[in-house]
Amino acid sequence: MADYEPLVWSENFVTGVPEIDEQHRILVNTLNEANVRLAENSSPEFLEQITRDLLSYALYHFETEEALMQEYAYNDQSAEEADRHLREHRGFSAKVVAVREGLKGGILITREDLLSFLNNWLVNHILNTDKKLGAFIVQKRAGGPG
Amino acid sequence: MSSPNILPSVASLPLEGDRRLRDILDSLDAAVQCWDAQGSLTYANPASAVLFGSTVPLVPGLAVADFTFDAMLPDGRKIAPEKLPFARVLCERVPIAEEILRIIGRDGEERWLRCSARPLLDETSGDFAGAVTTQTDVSGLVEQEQRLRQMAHYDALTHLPNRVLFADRLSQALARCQRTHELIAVCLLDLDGFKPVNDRLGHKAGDQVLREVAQRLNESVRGDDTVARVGGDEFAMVLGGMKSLQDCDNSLQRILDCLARPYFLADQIVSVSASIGVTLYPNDGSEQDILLRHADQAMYKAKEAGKNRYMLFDPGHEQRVRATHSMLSKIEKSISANQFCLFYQPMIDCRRGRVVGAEALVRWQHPVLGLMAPSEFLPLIEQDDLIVVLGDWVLRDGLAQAAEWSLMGLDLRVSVNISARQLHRRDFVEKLRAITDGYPPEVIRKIEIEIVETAALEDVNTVSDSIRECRAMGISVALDDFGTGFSSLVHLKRLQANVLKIDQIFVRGMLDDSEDLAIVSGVIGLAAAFKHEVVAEGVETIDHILMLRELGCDIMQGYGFARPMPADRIPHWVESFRPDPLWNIAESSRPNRDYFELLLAETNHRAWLDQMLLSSRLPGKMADPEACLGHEQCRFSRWYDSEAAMHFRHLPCFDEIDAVHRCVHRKAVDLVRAHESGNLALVELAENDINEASSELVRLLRQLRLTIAAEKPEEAPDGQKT
Ligand SMILES: [Fe+2]
Repeated sequence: MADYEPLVWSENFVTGVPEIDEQHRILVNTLNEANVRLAENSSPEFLEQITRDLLSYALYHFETEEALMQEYAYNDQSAEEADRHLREHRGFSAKVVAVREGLKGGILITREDLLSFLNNWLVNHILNTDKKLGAFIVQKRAGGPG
Repeated sequence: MSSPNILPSVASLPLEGDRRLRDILDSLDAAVQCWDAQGSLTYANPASAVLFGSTVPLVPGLAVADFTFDAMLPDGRKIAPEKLPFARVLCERVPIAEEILRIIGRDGEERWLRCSARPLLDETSGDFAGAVTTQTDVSGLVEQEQRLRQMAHYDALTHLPNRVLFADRLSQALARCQRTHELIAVCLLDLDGFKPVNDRLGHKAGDQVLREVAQRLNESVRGDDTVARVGGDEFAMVLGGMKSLQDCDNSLQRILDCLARPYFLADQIVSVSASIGVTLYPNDGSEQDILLRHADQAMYKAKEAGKNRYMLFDPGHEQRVRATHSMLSKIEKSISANQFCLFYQPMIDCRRGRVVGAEALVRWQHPVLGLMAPSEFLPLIEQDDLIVVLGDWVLRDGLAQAAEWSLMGLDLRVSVNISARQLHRRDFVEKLRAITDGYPPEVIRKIEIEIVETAALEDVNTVSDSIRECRAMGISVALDDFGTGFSSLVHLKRLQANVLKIDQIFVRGMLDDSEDLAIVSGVIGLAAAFKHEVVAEGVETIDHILMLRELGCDIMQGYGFARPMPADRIPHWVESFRPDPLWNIAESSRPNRDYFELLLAETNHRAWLDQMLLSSRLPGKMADPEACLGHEQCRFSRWYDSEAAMHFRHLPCFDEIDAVHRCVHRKAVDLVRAHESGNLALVELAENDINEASSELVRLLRQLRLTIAAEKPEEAPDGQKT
């Protein structure tokens, strides 16, 4: 991984659902912030704080997305995709929780590992999974309520 | 402008037509030239000589091709001679209107000219007969316009770009960053202590300081960066070309230091400093004007924090704080809406083969996200008083459960997790009494409190008082996650707990990692020394169970026995619980003990290898070379040669194990030699060799273990229990 390569927000990330896009922007910010700050401080306390922030914001964000899925009955439309989406969310939380468990036992995840996980997850998830949900919601919204 | 009295050759340029016309042309301020159809000069008025006299001698018959001089368009591009209006009108024979040119005379004087040209036609035939070209000196107008433009884009006092130009430069920098992946620092800078200078020493002194500040800023940034004055004593900067936060730190610190140096005015020395607010693009991926607002917010923080410093804006902070608040209030509502429930994980005494209790683990039945484990949501509230509210609820619910099981005749200890934060509350004991009020003492005695994050305990006195009260009520107190954190030993002595729980991370790692094993055995030893009970968490396999038993820990919980389950499934689980006879093979007579012996041999070998590899990485002599090297002295060898191993002699891989083990020791000798030579490449090579040989040894030992297990299928430890 390069020494510094911030994730630059691009139009490509836009799902078309304003509330989701705004939260994605914050997730991208949080990742970049972690990137910059971890370069100078990768103490266990700081890793603890970063992973807590991530966990907390991710949960908030997943709740937003999953509430939208329920509202628009995403599961009825494409059960497989909805299921995959939820599993990706759970996978994220599980990984962050595992990193935190490790910290407790004195195993510090490296900056590179943490960042590449976050980077890959975020980019993959937004581009492949969230955009599908976004397109679905946009279409539902255009076609009237429900 | 040169004086109009030198009018060379004008008289010798005859103009066809009448004398009066010529007088008129001669008197014009604008320069006028006439050319014949062949492009030869026929007339030039005196004003022409003023403009061009020093450049080209205006002699009659001068060919237009020779009428050349340095000329530029307003944007600075040079004009080729054939593109000059004179040449073009004669060549293209069409009028040319109002072209602005900048010419530079031989004397270096610069003039701005507005040029026009028209073709002339013969009155009778209508044929092309030549051209007339005119030029007006507009230098004064152009300069005034430039001054105006300067005023629109630059600050008059400091000559720095102003707000308008700054915005332009910022958007260019942001666009560039998309390609280069550099960091851009958008900074707003406000002088500290400038107003007193202005008030005390007057505006002139103030202006002088501002000019000096502008100059120092310009000198401390790179050529590509922009410094702008955007208000009275406010400056803005775009700093680019940075790769890390460290670069940004360095630049800003340099600027701060430079500005804080004294300012020498005519008869005064003054000092000011600066507060800088910074936001970093693309970390802060906001729109341009939002970036400036963020820099502004950070600048106010820098002021608040004591001035003469810079503050970095944290882009996600605000939204994250808002998100956290929203989650907190949701959790709070969920507690009162009964969306939390307790799952229970059985605790087993493996020596006696009994279920002794169950740990209550809180789950959040989130209406959207489903059932959530505490590791997912507790981090959100553990620094908030909400953890206390949740802790109270857990205590109440756990106690009610203990009472229910007690009525059913189930003798189970119910262990509940209580945060350090809750124990710090002065009213903890009072609340506990209120919660337990009305329950018979034998039910209260079923409760065990597990103190989580013991490392976060600050006021140990208050906490140890609370613990003593609990113990007096018959409530058992455990220190959870023991082994993690730093101050566990201090806590162990001061807190009057009676149970230690070994964190699952060490239990899971102990069979592969000798350090984890050391911690586990250390905690068990401590517990014995302090006469505490010890419980191991995270027990997954029969190997864990055997090792823990060997180390002296009997009470365990983990997936190896059961996952946490809803309370109503516990009675049935307890009823159908049967202890596994394998749990006691460590104590049993041969051949059942063989399996355990092999497990121990493998673990011993791994510990020895870790020790070797560790010391090969340290400078100086490798630790205890005797023990490291001698095949015969090694613990593994002692086991191999012992009577114990006799039982395996008949098995096919037994001899092979000896060969591989000797090989490992030869590699160890190589490693020590490599280490002594100080050649790191050799050390690395030797390490690879020893690792390889060692993996082979472990593989053979495991194979042997499986063979033994297969020989007695009815007792075979399958490693995984559900
Ligand atoms: Fe998603």
